[in-house]
Amino acid sequence: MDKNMVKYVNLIGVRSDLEERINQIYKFYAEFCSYEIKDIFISEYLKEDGSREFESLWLFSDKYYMEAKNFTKTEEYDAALINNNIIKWDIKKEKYDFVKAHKDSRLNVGVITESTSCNLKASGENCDQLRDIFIKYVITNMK
Amino acid sequence: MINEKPKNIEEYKEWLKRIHNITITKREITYYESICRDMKEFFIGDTFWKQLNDKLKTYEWDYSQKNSGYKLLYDTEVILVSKPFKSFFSKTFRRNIIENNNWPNEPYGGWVLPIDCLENINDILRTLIAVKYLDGVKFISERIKELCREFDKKCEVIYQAKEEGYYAVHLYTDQEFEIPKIDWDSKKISIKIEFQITTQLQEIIRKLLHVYYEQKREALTFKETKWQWDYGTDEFAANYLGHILHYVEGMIMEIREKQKGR
Repeated sequence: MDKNMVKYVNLIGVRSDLEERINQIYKFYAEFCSYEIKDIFISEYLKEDGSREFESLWLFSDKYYMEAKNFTKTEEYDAALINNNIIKWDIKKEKYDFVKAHKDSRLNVGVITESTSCNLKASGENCDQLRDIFIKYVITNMK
Repeated sequence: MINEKPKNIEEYKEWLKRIHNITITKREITYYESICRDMKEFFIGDTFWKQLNDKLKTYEWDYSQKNSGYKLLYDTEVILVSKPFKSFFSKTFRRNIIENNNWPNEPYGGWVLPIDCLENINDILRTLIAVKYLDGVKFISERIKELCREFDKKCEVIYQAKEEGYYAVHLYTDQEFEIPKIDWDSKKISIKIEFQITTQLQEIIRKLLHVYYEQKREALTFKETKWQWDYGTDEFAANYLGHILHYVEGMIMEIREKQKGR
């Protein structure tokens, strides 16, 4: 993973053992599948005790988006074409102005492509990362 | 007509959208499936489930000791399954429409609207325990009830005996889960875990007739003739087979009891 990715996973409080797991998944896609991964995003939600529950790890290249589903518990990977392939998106947000996230901010982005759909969740400072992903990979890849 | 009862699943989907502004997309289905997967994993990892699996062998031994070596269980390993989305959705259709005697108003207990109604469906997670003899049904349900008591869990036991020839015990225990909400954050819900306890023979018949029952439950048609008089139909054969089996299994028990008395 590059420096920005490491900075991101630390920012949202990923434990070191999970960071290692993320690194392994990154390597799988980058080295084994030869995808040029430019960004990552971790879909997560806050539990009642305030801790983060990480759901899926998403990786983005110019052409594909990849998911390591339920990555803290299982090893299920897939990839799909994103390049000019998005037919619909929707956003739900709370206490977030798309400028600077704070701890109460929430953002949910739904994306439908020709053949797949996905749902990305973010809380607190993770909303800024999801906003960047939305701008960089969702809006630009609308059909 | 705005108040016309939906007659099938497609009309039900339209009704959900028109009256309750609910649209079921791939997103809701994926959400449901991921929650079920998480709840299932959580429950399987829980001490109660592990204890139950461990204790089944003890129950088997106890029963065999008390009953001249007769076996209790068909299988000493139980499998927890989650309700597929299609069955879940179909159940909400039955509750809101087919079985709603208060139509066009909400059924008693309120609307059961997908997808935020997991607490109202009592078999999202369920397991089946098949026993060899009729008395095993009560034997095993009493043991699980005891186990629930040990774990300070609620336990409800229902002896099912349906006109349609279905015989089984349904045992329910509550379990709390923290699940993600569809958009963000999480919430705590308490759902019922269903233990279906029936005999091996009844289970074989149930499996054979499963497709037929599914179709029947989703139909909103009223027959003029009662099924008991419709001797040429699958329904007639299936339902009476259930009753006959129950009777035969009762007879087997009687013979066993007599042997015991000798």
